[in-house]
Amino acid sequence: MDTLLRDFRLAVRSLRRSPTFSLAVILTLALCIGATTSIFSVVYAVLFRRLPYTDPSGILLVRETWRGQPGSFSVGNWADTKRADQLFQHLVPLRGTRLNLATENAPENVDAARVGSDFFDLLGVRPALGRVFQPEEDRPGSDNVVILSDRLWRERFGADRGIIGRSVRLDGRPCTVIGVMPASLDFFIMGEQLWVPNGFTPEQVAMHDEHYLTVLGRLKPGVTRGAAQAELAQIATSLRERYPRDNQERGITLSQLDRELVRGYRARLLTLLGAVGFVLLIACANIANLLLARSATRGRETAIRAAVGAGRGHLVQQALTESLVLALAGGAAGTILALWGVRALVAFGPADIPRLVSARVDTPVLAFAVLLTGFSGLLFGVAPALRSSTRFPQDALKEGGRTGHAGGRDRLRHALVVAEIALALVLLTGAGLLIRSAVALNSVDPGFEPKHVLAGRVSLPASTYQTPDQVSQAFTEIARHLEQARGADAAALVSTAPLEAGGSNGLVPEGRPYEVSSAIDAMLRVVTPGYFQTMRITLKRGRTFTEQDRAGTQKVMIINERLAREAFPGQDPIGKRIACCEPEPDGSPGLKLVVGVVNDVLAMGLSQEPYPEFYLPMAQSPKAAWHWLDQTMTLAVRTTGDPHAAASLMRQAVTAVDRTLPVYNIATMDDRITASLGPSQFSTMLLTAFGVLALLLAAIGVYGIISYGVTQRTQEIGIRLALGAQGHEVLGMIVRHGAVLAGVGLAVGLVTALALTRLLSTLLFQVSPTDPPTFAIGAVLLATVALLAALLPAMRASRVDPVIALRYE
Amino acid sequence: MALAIDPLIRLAGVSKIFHTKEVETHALSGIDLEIRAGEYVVISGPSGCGKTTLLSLLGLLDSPSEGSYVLAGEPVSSLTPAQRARVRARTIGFIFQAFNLIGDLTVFQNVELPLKYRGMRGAERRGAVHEALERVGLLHRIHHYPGQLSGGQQQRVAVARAVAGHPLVLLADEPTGNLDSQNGSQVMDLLAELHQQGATICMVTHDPRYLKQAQRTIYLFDGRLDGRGPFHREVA
Repeated sequence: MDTLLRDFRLAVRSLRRSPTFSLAVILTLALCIGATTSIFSVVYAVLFRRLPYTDPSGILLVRETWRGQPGSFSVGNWADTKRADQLFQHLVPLRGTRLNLATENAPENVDAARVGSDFFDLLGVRPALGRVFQPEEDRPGSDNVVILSDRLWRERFGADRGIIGRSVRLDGRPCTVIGVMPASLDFFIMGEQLWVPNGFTPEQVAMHDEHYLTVLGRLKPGVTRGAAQAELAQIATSLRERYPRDNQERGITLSQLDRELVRGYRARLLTLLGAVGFVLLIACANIANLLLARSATRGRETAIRAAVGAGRGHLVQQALTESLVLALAGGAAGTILALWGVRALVAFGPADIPRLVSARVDTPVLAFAVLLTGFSGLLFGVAPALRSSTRFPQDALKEGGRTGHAGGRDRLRHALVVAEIALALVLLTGAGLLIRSAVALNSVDPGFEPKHVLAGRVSLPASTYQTPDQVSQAFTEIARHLEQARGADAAALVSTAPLEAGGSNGLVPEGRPYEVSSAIDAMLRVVTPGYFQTMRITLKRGRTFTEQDRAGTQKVMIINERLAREAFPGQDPIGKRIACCEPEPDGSPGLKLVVGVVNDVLAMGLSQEPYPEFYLPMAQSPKAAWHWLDQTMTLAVRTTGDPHAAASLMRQAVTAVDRTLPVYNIATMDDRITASLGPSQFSTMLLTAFGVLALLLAAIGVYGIISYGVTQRTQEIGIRLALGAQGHEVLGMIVRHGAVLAGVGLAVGLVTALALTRLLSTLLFQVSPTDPPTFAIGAVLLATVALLAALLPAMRASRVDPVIALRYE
Repeated sequence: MALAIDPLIRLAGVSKIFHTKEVETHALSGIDLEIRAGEYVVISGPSGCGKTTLLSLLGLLDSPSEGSYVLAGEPVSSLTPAQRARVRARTIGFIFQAFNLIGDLTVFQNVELPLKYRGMRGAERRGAVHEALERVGLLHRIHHYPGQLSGGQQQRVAVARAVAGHPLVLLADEPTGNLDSQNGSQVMDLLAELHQQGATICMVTHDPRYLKQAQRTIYLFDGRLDGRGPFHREVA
C-alpha cells in the first residue's frame, strides 16, 4: 500500500510537470468517457433497467394473431379465454384512450388507460395514496372511479394529499379519485396518465369481431411458458370452431412484455453504444501512443531505476499507476460531463423512445463509468508500461556510435495508428450509410402535401354524446363551422390523419366468397368531402366525395391504388363494389360502391410500404364506426400562411358546437412527419458526431506518430540531406510513411466495416449496408485527412538543417 | 617549372556568423584556404575553434555569411539549399564521426543512398556499390544491417558510401573518434590507400597520430586560421 501511495504521488508529480500532455489526455478521456457514459445511461434506462413491477420478466403480452401477424384481442375472445384458462394467475385486458378531464381548471384531454380491476395486482404495485380497483367496480354503472398517476397528481392537482375521494369529471361523467400510483410507475405502457376500469357491458363481452384490446398475463407459480402456449393454442382452436366467421385464421401468442416494449429500439441504441465505444477505443489508442512516446523519452530515468534495483514489477506498477491517474482524472471529468450529456439526450431525443425520460446518472451508470475508467486506463497503459520495463539498463547508460533510426519504426505504435484508422473508417461508413438513409427518407413523397396544414384532435365524451347520430351530428356541425372559417383555404375532418395510429377492417371484394379467408385487411378513414383537397391527395380515377354522399343515398367508398391492385388486379375498380364494415339489416354483406381511386399515402410511416386503405364519407359512416373511432376525429386545416394560425380556427369551430370540448394534439403535418423521423434522425445525428470525432482523433493519431517519427529521425533526415537528398524527397518519404499507415488502416477498416455495417440493415432505408459510394467517400475522406495530418510534420522534416548530421552529442 | 593548376577548393575571405536573439557568434572569420586535387589535408584545432563549421561549409551543408567559395571552378557560396544538395550529391563524399549509417537499411542500401539521390540508374548503382564495398573489404556483409557490424566495420561501410559515387573530395569528420585504436588504424589505412589512388581528402581530427598522415595541416584557433597556415609542408 505504501508503494502504491508513493507511486501515486510520483505519478501526480510527474504529470504536473507535463501539463500540456496531461491536459490533452485528460480532456480526450473526459470527452470520450462522458459520451460513452451518457449513451450507456440511455441504453440502460430503455433496455436494461428493471421495470418498476414485481418480477417484470413474468409479465407476458398475450396477443391474438391473424394470418400469423400479432394483433389485438376482441372483448369476447378475451372473456372466453379467461373463462377457459387454467394456467394464468392474471389475464388483464387494457386499452388506451383519451378522456376529457374537467376540474376547476380548463378541460384537458389526457391519455388514459381502461384496465381490468386486477391490473395493479398483476404488476405487483401498491398505490402511494388510496387503493386500487375492486372487482365490483369493473362493471358498467359502478366504474365511475379513477386512479391518477403521480405526474398528473402533481401537475394538475398540486400534489394535494386530500385528493382521495375527490370528484372529477371524465368525459362529462363524475368520477371519484380512489388512488394515486407512485412515481416509479410514471413510465407507462401506453403513455397513460390515469386509469379507469374497463366496465365491459354484456353486449361488448359477446362481441368477437372487434379487436382492440391489449392483454397482459402472469402465469401461476410453477407453470411454464410452453405449457401456457399449448393451452392457449387449444383455446384458439376452440374459438375458431365456435366463432368461425370472426376467428378464422386467428391464433394466440405469448411474449415477454419488457422485451416487446423496446424491440424497435434495441438495434438502434446498441448501435450507438457500439459506435461511441469505438470512439473511446480510438482515443485509448491515441493516448497509448502518447504514453509510448513519453516512455521512450524517459528511457534513461527508467534505466537508472532498474540499475539501482527496481524490478520489472515495480517499473510496470509505476507506469501503470501513471496511466490510472490519468484515467481517474479523465473519468471523473467525463462523469461530470455525462450529467449534462444525459440531459441533452433526454431533451433532444425522440419522445417515443420508451423510458428515455428516466435516463439519469444513477448507481448502475456510475458503476459503469468507474469500470469504463479502469478499463480505459489499463487498455492504454499496459503496453507502454510493459515496454518501459523491458529496457536494459546498460543500453540507456552507455555512449557510443549510433545509427539514425531511434524509434522511427515502432511497430506497436504503427499498429495502434492502423487500428485507429480502421475504427474511424467503420464509424464514418456507418454514419455515411445512415445519412444516405436519412436523405432518402426525407426525399420520400408521403402521398400528400404536408406544408401549411395544421391538424388537431377532438373527442366527444360518451356521457354527453350517447348515440351515433348525436356524434355524427356534432362532428358535422364542427366540420361546417371549420369549412366556413375565414383564413382557411381548405378544411376537413378525418378519423385519423396520416402518421396517426388507426384501425383496420377486413374487406371482401364483390365476387369473392364472403368469408374471412377472402378478406383484405385495409386501413379505414372516415372523412368529410373536403379531405382530399385539404391534404392534396391526388384523385387517380373517378371522383371524390360530395355533399350528395350522405345517409340514405348509395353507400360509396374511395380506395387507394394499393387496395385497387389487391382487390381488382388488372381491372378498373370504378363501379365495382366491396363489402365491409357492418352488414345490411337483412344480414347480407354491406356492399359499397367504389367511386374513386386516390394515390397511396404513406400513412404508416415514410419508411413503410403503403398499406391498403379505404375512405368512407362521414355522413355514411357505419354507426359502429364511432365506437371503433372512440368518438374522435382529427380536424385538418390548410392555410396559405403560417398554419399555426389555424389553431384558433379549430378551437372556434369546436366551441361553437360545445364549449367544454378541448382540441388537443395540435401540430402541423410537417412537424408530425419530422417527429416520425425522430428516431432515425437522432441516431444519424449522434453517429455522425461520433464519426467526425473519430476522424479528428485518427488525424491526431497520424499526426502524432508521424511527428514523433520525424523528431526521432531528425538525425537520419539530416544524414539523408547531407548525402544529397532534396527537401521534397524527404517530404515525400515522410508522407509516404503516413500513406502506408493510412493505406493499411483503410484496408483493415474496409474489411471490418463490410462485416459490421450489416448490423445496420434494419436501420437503413433504400441503402445497402455495403453501399459502394458511401464506403468510397468515407475512405477518401479519411485518407485525405490522414495525408494532411502527415503533411505538417513532413514539411518540418524537409526543413531540417543538414548540418545536424555533423553534430555528435 | 611547375604548371599552375587551379585548386579544387578555394575559400576567400569566408566568415560564418550565427545569430541568436541576443548574441552574434563569429564561428569563422576571414578564412582563406586552397586545396588542390589529390591533396590530403587535415584541419586541426582545439574544441570550439570552428572545425565542424568549416567542414560544413566545405561540404555545402551550410553557406558562408561572407566571402566566396569556389569548388571545381564553380562558385558555390550563393547556391540555394536545393542547388547545394545537387552539387553535394555529385561532388562531396562524407565520412562522419558517428558513422551515421541508417539502421533500418542494409549495408547495400546505405551505400547506394547518395547514388539514388544523384539519380543514378539501378544497374549502375549496383555496380558502384559492389565496387565500393570491395574496396573496403566488406562485400561479404552486403545484406547485413549496421547493427550486426562492429564499429570499425560500420565506419568502413560509411567510407564505402562516401566513395561509391567517385566524389571530387572526401570530407571526414573525426573518422576514428568512436573507434578503438586498432579499428581506427584500419580506417586511417583505408583513407591513406584512397589518397594513394588519387582521392582528395580533407579530414578534421584531434588525434596527433593521424596528423602525420596528411600532406598539410591547417590549424584553426577561435575561428581563424592559425598564423602558421596555409603553408605547404611536404611530407616525404
